[in-house]
Amino acid sequence: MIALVTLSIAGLFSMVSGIFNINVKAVIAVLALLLAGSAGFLLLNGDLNLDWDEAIQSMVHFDGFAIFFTVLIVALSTTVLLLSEHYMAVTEKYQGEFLSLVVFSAVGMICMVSFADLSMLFIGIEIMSVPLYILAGSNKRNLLSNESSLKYFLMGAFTTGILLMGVTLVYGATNSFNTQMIGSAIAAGNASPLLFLGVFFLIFAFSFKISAFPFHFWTPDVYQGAPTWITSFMSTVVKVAGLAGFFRLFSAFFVAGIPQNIQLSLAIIASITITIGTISAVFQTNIKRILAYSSISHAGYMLISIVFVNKLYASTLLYYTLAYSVSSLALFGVMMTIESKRGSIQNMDTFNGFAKKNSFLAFVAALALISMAGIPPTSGFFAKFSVLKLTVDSNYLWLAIVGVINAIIGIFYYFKLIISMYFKQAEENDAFVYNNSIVYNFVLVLLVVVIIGAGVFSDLIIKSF
Amino acid sequence: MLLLTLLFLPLFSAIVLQFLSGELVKKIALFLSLIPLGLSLYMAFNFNCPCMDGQLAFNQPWIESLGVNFNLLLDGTSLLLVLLTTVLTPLIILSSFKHDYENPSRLYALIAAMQFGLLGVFLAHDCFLFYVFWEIALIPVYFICGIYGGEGKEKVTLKFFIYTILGSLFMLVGILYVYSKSKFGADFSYEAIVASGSALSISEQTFVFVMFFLAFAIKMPIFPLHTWQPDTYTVSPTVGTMLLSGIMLKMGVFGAIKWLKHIAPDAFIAYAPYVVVLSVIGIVYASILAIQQSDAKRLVAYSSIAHVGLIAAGVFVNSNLGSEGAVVQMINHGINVVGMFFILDIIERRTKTREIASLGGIINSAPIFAVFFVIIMLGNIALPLTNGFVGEFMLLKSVYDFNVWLGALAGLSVILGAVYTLRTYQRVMLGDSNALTATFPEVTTSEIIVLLVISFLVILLGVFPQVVLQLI
Repeated sequence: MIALVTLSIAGLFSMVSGIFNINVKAVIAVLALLLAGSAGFLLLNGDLNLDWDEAIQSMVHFDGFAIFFTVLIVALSTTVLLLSEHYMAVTEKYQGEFLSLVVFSAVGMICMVSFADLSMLFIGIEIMSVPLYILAGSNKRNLLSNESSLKYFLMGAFTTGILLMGVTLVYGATNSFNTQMIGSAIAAGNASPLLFLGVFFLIFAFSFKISAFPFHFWTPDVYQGAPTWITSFMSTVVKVAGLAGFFRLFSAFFVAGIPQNIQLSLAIIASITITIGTISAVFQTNIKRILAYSSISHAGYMLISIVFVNKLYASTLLYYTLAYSVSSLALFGVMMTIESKRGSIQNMDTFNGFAKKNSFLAFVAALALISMAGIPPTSGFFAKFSVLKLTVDSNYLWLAIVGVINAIIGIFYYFKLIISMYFKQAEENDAFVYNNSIVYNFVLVLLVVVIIGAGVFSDLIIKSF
Repeated sequence: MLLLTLLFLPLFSAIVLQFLSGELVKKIALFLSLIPLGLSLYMAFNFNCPCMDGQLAFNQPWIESLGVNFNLLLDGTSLLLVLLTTVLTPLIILSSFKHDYENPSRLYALIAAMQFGLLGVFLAHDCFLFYVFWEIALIPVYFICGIYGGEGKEKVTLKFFIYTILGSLFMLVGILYVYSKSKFGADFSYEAIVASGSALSISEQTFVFVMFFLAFAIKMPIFPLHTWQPDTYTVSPTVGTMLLSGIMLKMGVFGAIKWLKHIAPDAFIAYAPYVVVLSVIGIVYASILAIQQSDAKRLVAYSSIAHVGLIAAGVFVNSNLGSEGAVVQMINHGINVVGMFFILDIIERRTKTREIASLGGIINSAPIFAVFFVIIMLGNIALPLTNGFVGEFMLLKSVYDFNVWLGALAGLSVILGAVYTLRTYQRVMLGDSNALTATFPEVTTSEIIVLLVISFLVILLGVFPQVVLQLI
């Protein structure tokens, strides 16, 4: 609750900051302090115990799951805000407004991970999505950015319809919007067949939000067109929220274990998502598109924790989302630096000989890629390992094998980038000098520490959940 | 605590070296690599002494939620391989002194990181930990070969990397599979995994066997999974080749002896004959190819496949003699192959060529160098009283006991080995000097030190093989 309130206030502050001509750096500093403060408070003390908690208990419920994911989302959003340096440098107008949209989007996400009622879930998804439609098109003089925004908006609006349809059907079958009541109705076994239709509509809607097969087609275009800063936000924090909401919904619905047919469908969706993401990425040349497909494939891996949905496995999802997000953000951080000097990044050649120009940034990027490829001792490996362990524990050996084969193919394109940076020579006329502010580099160092630290000390994170 | 220090010292050196620069880096790297050497020698001399009680194992919960312990164990075999690693690393660093590598601190940091991974592989007594170190050891050598390698390195190193990681990931599936069948409390400790694996039915064991075998066979490499090896050895800088051939391929043999044999014992016995046949095919095939090579480095790469084929055959004949021979030969091969690659490096650095045909008569201008070359070469072709003889004899005997015909075929490797090695020596060192070799400078002090240590080991382990044998 405290994060919800703090973030709303922070968003409002940022929105009006433009009127009072407050320097954008000061705004970011205030936002980061507020966000990090609320995340730290939540982590240390849990949520505040307020009188009116009872009254809204049936709408949002801040249990352990909600608190941990809120902390993760707020912390990641803070990181994104701190990495906005290069984006703000080229944005002339409405800087405060764009920042506030990011914060408001995070407010929606907090609703998505803490809802106890389907209406709250719907509101959360909408609060998260509407700012994203705007942000995707925030580079309004760029055609690709416009395309990205329009595409995302049309598809998103369509999905909203599907989501509502699913909610309605579930309501019709169980007579309730409250997830707990729905859960007990399903457990009692007297729900009408309409329920399953509703559940499938909900699966479709979430598949869109996390860009899982068969609703992943928008991802590469939107990620490519949107400003890189927004892409970094969409491919990490938004995905975390979507998956956490999905997990929360299903763990509340299927208290007594997920029905066989739904489990199998989800397993198939997950395996196809992983495969499509990986194989499509191999054939891409544009780096942002590669990362878009790689994010699809990672969504598939994270979806595996929902295939075997069980409250106990929430830690697996939390850990994977954390590992994936920090690695992606580190890589995006380096990409934005390069982009700020070159204007845009297109294909791998942009990275040629990068290790000689700035060995620190190259190291950050290489480590992020190694983590995304799932190689020890980075957190990406432990994340992939715990997901694969879930599949083997539940006797889904084929899913594990699909996961492993795709991990191998994944290495192929992640390492192409490493090869460019370390093994190839820079072009002769490449005279760019890459530098960042101290804060920016500090954030990158922090991400590196988390990538390795969360790997070596993964027990701390999994157990504290 | 001693084990932990030994393991983490190289990692510490890697971090320190990364931040250094200047001429002194080489010497600091050498100095830092001597500390683990001293420590491991101390442990070797006191191996059976009661004062080491509790020092040869270390166990601490690591990731409790996954059932992973940070479990290290030093037994005879792993002690030998640890010694091999700690002895070869300073030699490898010393052998690079004459090269001017760009950004040397990065190179030496990578070598130290590699040593960290290798020591971890040999010490790990927990399946998960073993896998983690198995992968950690791969990353630095990939960068060494990729950054400092020669022509066509991008493709070759990527092939190498994907090949080996393919094997490792299959091993990961195998580990997970055995773990999921575990009825002995959910953890990854050596004992639990072995108990769980050996309790499986033969068809389940077959699956596990194949998964682990792929990882180990690619690393060694066993025919027909060897195709990454000649290119990678040729393209890599000499340091990388030495690390790969001297130490890294022993990971595969070690894995087969320590893990594969015990995790899937029934399948191991059932499928071992096929592996032995493959290994023997590899021996003959690689020896014949070695004879035809004109590039000296490629020749040694193929000869390495032949030697490792024999070692693999020894492991898979599944007799005591075979495994002992394999361990002995792992050590000897590590020493000899590093020596061979160093000799080639000396020649290549001075003449700028590795083409055997364009060399000749080096003995006239560098007689000291020629002496060292002879000693190391004789070790390589397994002449009695050199180290190669002991291991090769044990291995051939074990293959012969297993099957006479296979033994005879494997014996060919000795003859063929003599053919290509002696011929190389003859064409490179003897004969008339030409324009390239007439001014061949004699070896320098740092080179003499490396060659002296290697030659000393070649003779010592040939005359007193008990040094190694008593530890197994």
